[in-house]
Amino acid sequence: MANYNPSNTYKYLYDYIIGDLLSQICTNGSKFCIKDETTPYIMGKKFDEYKERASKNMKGNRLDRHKIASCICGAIIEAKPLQGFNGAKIAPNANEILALCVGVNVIKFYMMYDLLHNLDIPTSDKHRIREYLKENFEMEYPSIENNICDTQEYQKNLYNALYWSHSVCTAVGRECFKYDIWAYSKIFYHLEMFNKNNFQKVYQSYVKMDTV
Amino acid sequence: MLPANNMLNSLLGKNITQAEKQYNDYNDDHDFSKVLEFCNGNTVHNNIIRYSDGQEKIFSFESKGKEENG
Repeated sequence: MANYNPSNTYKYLYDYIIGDLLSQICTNGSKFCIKDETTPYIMGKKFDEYKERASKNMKGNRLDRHKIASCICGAIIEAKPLQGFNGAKIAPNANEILALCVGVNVIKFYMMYDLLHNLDIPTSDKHRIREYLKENFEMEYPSIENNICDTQEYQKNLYNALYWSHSVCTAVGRECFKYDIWAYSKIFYHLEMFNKNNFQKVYQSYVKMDTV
Repeated sequence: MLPANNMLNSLLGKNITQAEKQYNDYNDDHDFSKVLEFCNGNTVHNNIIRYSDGQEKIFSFESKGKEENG
């Protein structure tokens, strides 16, 4: 990772989202770990590359939230940070599961920002709402009841789609379908739409609690 | 015949709004760094992560920056 200096955006992204999630997965007693201290840099390099490549195809230079979520999702899939500790067998799509979770948390942060940053209330109140939403709002996926033509949950299909779009080719040298930043950014868009009502519900539950 | 107005209008380039004409394939979203800073607040991140050699360490770029500057 010599000569790679992570962007400030990636540093925050790692510290506030990726590191938080990794610390919940790679704990003593679990079967997961990351290789070493170079892993955050490997992911960062891929993320900054994806971001730059995506930006080059646009007239503006600020990627929207769904493309950023898609870039970090793709970067994690390529970098494969999660490993089995002491040779433990882990799910083949473990890194895709992490990648999707990081991506939807990027969207969650934007949803919180949309709600709070222009709200005309004291800063201390904003902080309380922010902490409440951070802890109580979890991005959801369509349930199996809404999955009209399948017997598997939506997110499981998505993990597998992410897995087959890239991971297999590097492991066994088979055809690579290539991770598609734009296609997955649309999926993140739909997941944001899907979660809007639930987000409002969680926010309203805070308001109710606060006024009691 | 299947209804296909959206497809036909798209193929003919019809019904393009002013907003779409000005669309530059980005939607001028918020600055992601600011979003992350705002949503993180003053939370200090001591994320302990296990490495493949069994060591469990705190890693954050914030603390790295302090080490390098300190």
